Amino acid sequence: MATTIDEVYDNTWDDPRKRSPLVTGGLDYGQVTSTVTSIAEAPAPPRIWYILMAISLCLLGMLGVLLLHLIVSGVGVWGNNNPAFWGWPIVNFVFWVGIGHAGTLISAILFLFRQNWRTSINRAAEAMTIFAVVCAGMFPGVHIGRVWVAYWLFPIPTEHLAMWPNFRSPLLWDVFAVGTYATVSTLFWYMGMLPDLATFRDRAKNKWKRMAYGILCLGWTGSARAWHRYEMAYTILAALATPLVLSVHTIVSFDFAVSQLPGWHTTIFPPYFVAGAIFSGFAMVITLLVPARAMFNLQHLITMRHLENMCKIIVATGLMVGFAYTIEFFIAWYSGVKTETQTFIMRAFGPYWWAYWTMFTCNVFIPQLFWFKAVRTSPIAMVVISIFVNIGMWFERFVITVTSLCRDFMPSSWAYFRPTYVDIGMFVGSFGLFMTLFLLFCRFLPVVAMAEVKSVMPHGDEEHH
Amino acid sequence: MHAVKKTKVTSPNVSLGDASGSLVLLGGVGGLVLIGAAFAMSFFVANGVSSFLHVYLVNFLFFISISLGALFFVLIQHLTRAGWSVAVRRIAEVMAGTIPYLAILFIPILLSVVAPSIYGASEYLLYLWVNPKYSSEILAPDKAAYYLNPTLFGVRAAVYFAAWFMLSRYYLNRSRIQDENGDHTLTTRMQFWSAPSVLLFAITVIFASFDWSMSLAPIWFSTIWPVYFFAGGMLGAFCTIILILLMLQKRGILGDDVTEDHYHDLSKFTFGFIFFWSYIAFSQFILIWYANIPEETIWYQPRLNNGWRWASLLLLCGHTLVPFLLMMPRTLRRSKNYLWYAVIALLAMHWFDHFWIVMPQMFVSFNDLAELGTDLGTPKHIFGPVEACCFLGMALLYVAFFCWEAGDRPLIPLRDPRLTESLNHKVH
Repeated sequence: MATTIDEVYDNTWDDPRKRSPLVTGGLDYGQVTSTVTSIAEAPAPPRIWYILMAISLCLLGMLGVLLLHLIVSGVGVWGNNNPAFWGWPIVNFVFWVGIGHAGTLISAILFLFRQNWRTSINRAAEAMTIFAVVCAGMFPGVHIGRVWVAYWLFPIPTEHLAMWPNFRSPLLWDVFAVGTYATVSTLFWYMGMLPDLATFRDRAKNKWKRMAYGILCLGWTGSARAWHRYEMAYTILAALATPLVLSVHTIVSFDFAVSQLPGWHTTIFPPYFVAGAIFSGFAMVITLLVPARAMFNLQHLITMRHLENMCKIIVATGLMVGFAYTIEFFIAWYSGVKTETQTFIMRAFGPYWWAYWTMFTCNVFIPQLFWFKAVRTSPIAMVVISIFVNIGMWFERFVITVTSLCRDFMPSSWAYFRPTYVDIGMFVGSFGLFMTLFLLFCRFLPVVAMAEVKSVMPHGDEEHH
Repeated sequence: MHAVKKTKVTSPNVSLGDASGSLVLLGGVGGLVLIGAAFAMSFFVANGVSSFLHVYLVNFLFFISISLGALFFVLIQHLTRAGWSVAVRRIAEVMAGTIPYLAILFIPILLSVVAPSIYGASEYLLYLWVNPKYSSEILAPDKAAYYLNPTLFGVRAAVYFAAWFMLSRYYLNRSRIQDENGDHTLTTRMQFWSAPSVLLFAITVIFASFDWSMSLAPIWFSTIWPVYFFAGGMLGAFCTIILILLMLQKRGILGDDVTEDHYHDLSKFTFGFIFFWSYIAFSQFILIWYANIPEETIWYQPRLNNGWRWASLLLLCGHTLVPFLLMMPRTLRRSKNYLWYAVIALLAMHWFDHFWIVMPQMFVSFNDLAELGTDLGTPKHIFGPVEACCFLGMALLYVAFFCWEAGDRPLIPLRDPRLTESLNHKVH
């Protein structure tokens, strides 16, 4: 079967007799390299980059001011109060940690599953993962109140402090889980980038740039031996990162589920949190990559098929999350435990009904549009739906954290949670931090893993054997 | 540089041929005789039919979970457009094809639920909630009226089996028609339906797991239960696929069309599901243990006391720690000789998992009824001739079902459009 011109440009066809290409537009190796390197080599980024950077920096500045205000005044500036001692900071923490799941899933689990399409998107998704974890780590970090003793979170032997962290507390497990995940994800990302950084070094015209990229790529030579070790290390890191993808959100779910609070204590939480995290992570990857590919002309590398596959993953994980919501409801009734039943009825029909139905609509109903190919292959539609998913996933954490706390075991302490301007400002500001890091990454580092993409191009594949 | 690509199946035999008939006869007759013997023997052990039915349920859950795992394997191959697995997919299709026959084996379980209410007997046989005295005094009235009652239990089971019957037939038949005409659009259709099929599969398996195994402890509940059931079933399915492939190749069927690269990938999934099962089992345990709420810990209490503690530890070691280490090395996963032992041991542990789920509940149920004033004595034995005969009988029946379904038809999808990809599959 001859490949037609149309198939070179549209790779969303699904013919079992042959695999559709992962790089379109008939690009050869050289053009792949020049497409990616042109972003960092251009004398100036596109104007839209400056506009976005300006907005992000403003938000980042606002975050900085609010952080200072928080540290100077104390956590009372937040809306957290009896009985909802966990308010927006924890909601934001779980939200950002969840976002930080797609990258390592793409680079580790999809690698082990031999999903070659991951090669075009893994680099950007991993970068996004790390930046999301940075945003996530900030919230519990300042939530402790006295940030200058944040190191007390770690079991450091000291004479001044006659205590150790409580090893039975999932909050301590979180420190280890998120810390390990951040370390391994960063290593994985950086190590995977070495060959591409060397390409940047080799192409650099300016002495300082050459030196900077030369240091960053750790003197990569591209010899057969270097490649052999690189691939071994990549496989080992992928295998190590795979359980980490599961463990982080599992431990985060333990923060809630080990307690006895109705709505928090349910055994489905670990896998359900992981599915939700992947769901929101992929939604964020789409939200970022669709504009990024247009901004930097990457349409032939991050193709429609890549985006369509991600939409499919979103609909699959969205359904898992939907099943979990429904099963929780069913079991609350089946258990015959009054507090459980009452909590779930309160969530859906009580004072927080608006949050519950926002969550349900955004996470379960709206992604169903992805069953239609026309929606899955429309960049605008997928960005809009992905934004809805991210809104829904934020509300999911809000529903879990706040509704259960506001209706605890003692009706006299029931209250209605209201955020303050600091809560809202810090959440919006965290997007500034996230976007600033991401825009810097796009400008100065290889956005697409060039070396890996080349290995899955058709001619590359034949020579490979 | 590299060898010419293999495009056709080269094995001289790709079907069971005449052997299938004799295996069906042997398995069918032997299986019925052994199950009959187990039933007869149960009258001479403590608690009679009740103990037989519990063991019967263990075996039924063991085999149905494996067939369901195989069905999911088929669905997910189509959903992900997998190429590597084509050469081994027919085995899973045929395993899933045994589900309609397993529905017949469900009849004794259904009878144990329906018969007492028809004849007005209040005797305890298998599910505690069937006993009207128990359901009226202990269960929430809603739950007994709208969920745990014999009629709805039967209706739901009919729905589950109808759904699985439809799914398993659809994929097996389409795949076989493709053997004849080589029409690649059949693959396109199967891929198209795979996504809704997975949904239907998920909904039915979720509630089947609640009905058949979780409701043995009628007041206990766990939202992760369906995932636990599914994880064990997938592990069982991968082990069984490997075992069947090993047996077929030993008998000279399938030749070198199934290579050690296929075994390698299947064992990777086996390893993955050892890990996944352990993750789910641990999550369920740690959350219940940590919160320590009586209505939840009642399920673990009998499994951590009265000798069952050793069974739980055996499960921890045999289903998690040891296989985790012993399925990790690449060389072992590619060795057929090694895999014989590994998959048989893992299947034994999967069986034991169901034994551990079902059997302690019999003791609890007897005690609960004694507290309600229906003293039925104390169950005594754990593993005896009834258990052995029941397992062997059902295993023989499963062999018979498989061979009946396989017949003398090909055990490799001969004209699947991705067959070439699978025949040349290499794990790098």
